Amino acid sequence: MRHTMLKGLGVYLTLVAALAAAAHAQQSGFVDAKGETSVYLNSGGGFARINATDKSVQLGFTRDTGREKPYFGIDFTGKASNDFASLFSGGKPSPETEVGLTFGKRFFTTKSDSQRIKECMKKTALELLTSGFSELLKRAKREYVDRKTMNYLKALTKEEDDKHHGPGSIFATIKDELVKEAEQRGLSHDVANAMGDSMVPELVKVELKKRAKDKAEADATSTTGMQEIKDEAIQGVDGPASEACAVDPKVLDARAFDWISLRVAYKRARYKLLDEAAAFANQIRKQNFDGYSATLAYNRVITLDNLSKTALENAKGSKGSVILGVSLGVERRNSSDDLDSVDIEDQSFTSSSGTTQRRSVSKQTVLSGEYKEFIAVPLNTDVVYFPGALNSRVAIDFFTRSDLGTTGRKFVPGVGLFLTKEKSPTKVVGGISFSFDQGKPKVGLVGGFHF
Amino acid sequence: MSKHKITSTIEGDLFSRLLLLEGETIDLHNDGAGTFSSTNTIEVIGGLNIAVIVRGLVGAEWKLKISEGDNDLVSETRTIEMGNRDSFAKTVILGDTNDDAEAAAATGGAKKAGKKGGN
Repeated sequence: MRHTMLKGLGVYLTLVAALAAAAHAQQSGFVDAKGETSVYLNSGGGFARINATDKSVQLGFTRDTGREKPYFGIDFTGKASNDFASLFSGGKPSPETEVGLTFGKRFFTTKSDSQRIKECMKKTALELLTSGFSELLKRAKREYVDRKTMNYLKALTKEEDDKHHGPGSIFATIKDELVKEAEQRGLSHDVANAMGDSMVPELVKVELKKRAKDKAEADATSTTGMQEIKDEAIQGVDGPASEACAVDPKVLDARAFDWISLRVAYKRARYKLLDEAAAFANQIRKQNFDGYSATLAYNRVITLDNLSKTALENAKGSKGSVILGVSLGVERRNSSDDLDSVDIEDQSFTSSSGTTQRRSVSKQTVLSGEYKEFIAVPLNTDVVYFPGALNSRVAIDFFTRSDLGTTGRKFVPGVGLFLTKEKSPTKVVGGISFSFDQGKPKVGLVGGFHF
Repeated sequence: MSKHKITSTIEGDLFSRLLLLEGETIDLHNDGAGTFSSTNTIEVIGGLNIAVIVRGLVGAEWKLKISEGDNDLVSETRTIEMGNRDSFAKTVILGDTNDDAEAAAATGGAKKAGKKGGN
């Protein structure tokens, strides 16, 4: 993250790539000036991301069925100290490497759609098999006839094609009749023949369909056909029941649904630190850091619409939605982000010959300032409102960011205004956030790229 | 009834998606970028019964594609209008597969009932 001071006002620019991932893959784009949020969305699948602002590369994969079953993910992040090349050069590991494991579950406290539809199907199947059996039989017969018609049509069409319009084909029979009738009405043989050629293909299709349907209906009234229809009506009851239940307002009337996600991560980092006050030989030292974090997030989406059948029939449009988010984490951090990055030059050799002076200079980038390690306990909350009248193209986020740890304890309230991508309301294309961090106002700008 | 190899795809900015074919829940796989898909062998009794429930924010567009080989059985693009959810239900009549049709012809059209298939 890059920041500049603008007349005493902290202005932060967060560039959010792909699925608006700021700190890691599961985070949404509804972030504050530091890229933090409590709204976690599972983007899933395999992904590879490059974040140009903090010079990091992230690879990951999530196994997810998209419904109430738990999902699991793994991600790796490598962060460069200088430029992207330093991630891969010299066969040395990246100065900051992180591996994260994610676990999540949709419908954590709310009843899942799967549960709702299964309960409905059980009831509906029973109703269909008892009071609605005649209707079920009618439907099974209709589907049986349609399917058999399709089969017979395929077979009859092949049979007809094999005759190549020759004697005995339906084409030849219909054409003969048409030409004869046209000639009787006074048309010349050539004209009648041409008329026949243009009309007969369509008439053949109609005739084939009629014959196929007649055969299918005959099958349906045969003893074996009737038994098959009855078997299908009984065994296939779950299918029609699922269709009836998928559009049942009682199945769809849940006003809220939720999910929970947990991410644990381990981070290994190595820094070069400059201590100007130390003896010359000890001024530059290497510092290893083992960091860990665990973040638990709970999100709940609530519709402001009344989902009763009558209310839906009379509704003029959606009233909108709210996403609630709470996340609590424990993280071992260090102060490296707050240290100044300085270039050190060591001149180890000088030599001159005439007008040419030769010097050997080794350069390195180190961090300067007081290095500290501490435990942070971030608690984030978000209430994101999406007005229905604007089709969720705009989101207003009222948030708090707190640290309950002993070092750096703080409470930061704020508000963000976001523009979302058309037809994809959880994807942020741009936004601005205002917050008060220890009495200082901060403005954060968010830009999103989605591809 | 006959067995059919059905490919299902649900795409869109959604929170959850539930697909049932012939009343059986289908496990979709996340292909990334909001696309979930699966290919299953389904024993179809009568017509192929399709039922879908999706959850997402109002304004989210989603696409459903159900196909058998190159034959698109359902190709729908919908938008969530109200209540952060949408649903879709349809019966698609499929012809018997060649093997099933031949078997049916050999036994005079009658076949034994079987269980519905999974993956």
